[in-house]
Amino acid sequence: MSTTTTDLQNEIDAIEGSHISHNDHHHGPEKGLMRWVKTTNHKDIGTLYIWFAFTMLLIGGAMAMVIRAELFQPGLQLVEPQFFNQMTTLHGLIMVFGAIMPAFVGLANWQIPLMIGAKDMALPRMNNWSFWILPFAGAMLLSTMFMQGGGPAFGWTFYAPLSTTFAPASTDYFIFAIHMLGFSSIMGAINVIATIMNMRAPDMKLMDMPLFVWTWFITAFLLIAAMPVLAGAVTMMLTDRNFGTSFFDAAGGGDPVLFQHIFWFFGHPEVYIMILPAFGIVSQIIPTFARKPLFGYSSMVYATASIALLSFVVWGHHMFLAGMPIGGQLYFMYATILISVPTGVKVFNWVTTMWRGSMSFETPMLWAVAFVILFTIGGFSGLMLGIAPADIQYQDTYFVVAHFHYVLVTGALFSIIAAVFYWLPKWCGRMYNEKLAKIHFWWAIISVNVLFFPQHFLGLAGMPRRIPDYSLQFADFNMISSIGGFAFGASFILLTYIIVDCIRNGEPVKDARVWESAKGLEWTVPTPAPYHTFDKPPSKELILAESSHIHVEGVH
Amino acid sequence: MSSLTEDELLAKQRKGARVTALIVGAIALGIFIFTIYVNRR
Repeated sequence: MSTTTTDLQNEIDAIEGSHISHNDHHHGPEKGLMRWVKTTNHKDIGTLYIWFAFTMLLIGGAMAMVIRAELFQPGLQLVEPQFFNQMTTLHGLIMVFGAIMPAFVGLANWQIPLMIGAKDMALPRMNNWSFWILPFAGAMLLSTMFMQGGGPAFGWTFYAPLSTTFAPASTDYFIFAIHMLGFSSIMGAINVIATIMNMRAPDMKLMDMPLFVWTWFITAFLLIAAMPVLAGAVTMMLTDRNFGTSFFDAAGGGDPVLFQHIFWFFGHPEVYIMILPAFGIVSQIIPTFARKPLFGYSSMVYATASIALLSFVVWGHHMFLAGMPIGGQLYFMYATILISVPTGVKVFNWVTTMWRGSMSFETPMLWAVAFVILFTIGGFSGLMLGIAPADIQYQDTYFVVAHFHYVLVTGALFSIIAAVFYWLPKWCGRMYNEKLAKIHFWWAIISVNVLFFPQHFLGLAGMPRRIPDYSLQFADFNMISSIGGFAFGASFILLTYIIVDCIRNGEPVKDARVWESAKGLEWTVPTPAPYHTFDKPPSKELILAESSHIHVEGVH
Repeated sequence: MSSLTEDELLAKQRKGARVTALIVGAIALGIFIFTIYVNRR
């Protein structure tokens, strides 16, 4: 029984209903399945988010396998074109809204309270609600495939009028699913903002916060500003489809291009919602395994904020060919290229952190270094796409597909895998099999490049995206890409085994500081992390000593 | 270190968190309504 247990704490615990005995808030989790349904504990909810994301990743990945199998050779072999289009649409939607975003929210749930010395997230019941909306939304989205007329087949960007006038009946379910996913994201973002602003240790200033917390803080504001715009877009779609409005219907005085503006006003910040937390993860991992404080901490914070602000003023680069005055093209081109400045600051800071560091290459570091190299490739192809005259050639080709998969797979997804390997021993108190994890890393890193790099060449040669069949001259690179795709897909079987094996049979880890050079408040709590942490806020001395960016002489 | 007791600190933090959540939620709702309002036909 802790000496800090009081009536107030008991009252809070009782309200949140997260335990059996109200006499002792140092209880363990509730037993049985209902623990997961009723939980308000940030660690439980983080775990739920991450497993949900992993499940959706496998479902979305299976759809990618269907796509690559059909594209293995020219001609139509396996699926009907309409079904192929459903696969590309649902693959994109599931990976963005079902896998990458929930995975980052899961990591935020686990790590943010631990990293800022808070007892839990600020609004634990809302946290529970945010998560439990997701499985229903995901199931509704997937159920559209089995409805009459098939599921959505208009691409993850769901441009009107394809998604309004010419869409199947299941689109209304798709709209409801997007509403729910957006609502969940907004509630998650509110929770992150309130937690960081109000729950962090009283002696932790904003500029004392770890980079992962900073990047999530900024990401949460992006979510608050961007997701309601998406909700507005799908609401207008809904009323156009069912209530006789004409937001996007030219026949009624509306404008289909307006949809593209609204979508990309959401869509471009969405890209940064999926990459800023990745920047934070890499900024935690590299100093640990380079055994040096993070180089340029404050410039990292300002660069993240700059990227976030710029993300709202560049949406037009997705629409260079939709009909835009030359002045508009120039503006969006220059603004887009401007983003490379703060992004470059980050890449140089990571490299400088590693420079002359005492580096070792445990699995999380391998993934982090792979992130820096491969995300930079994705960034460079993004710059190429941002050049308006060049985009006339690249628009709607496989070059775009290659670009955003380098950003989102070798960027966002790789950072999530890095984070899981980095923090998993702290979460479950067991170490993964390092040898298998390294085999998996090299398997994935080779296959992912075999999968996506040839797509640059396909795009430059003019192969359009979202087609189930193609001209003969694209055959060789498509076959290579598909072989890489199958190998990359298979690597996730090994990843699943490594993670499950770690949780069930991994070698127990006793040290609070799992990685000898890791810094951060999360490494001061016992391993595995207890169900409740930071009853007592950490001291200023501890906060400074555990800062990964401040070098304190004589302190670990 | 704050002079508040742990209970007072927790109560203060949670009160502040509710106000923050309310403000941020209101901003999100405002953006949603504004998006539809400016695009009305």
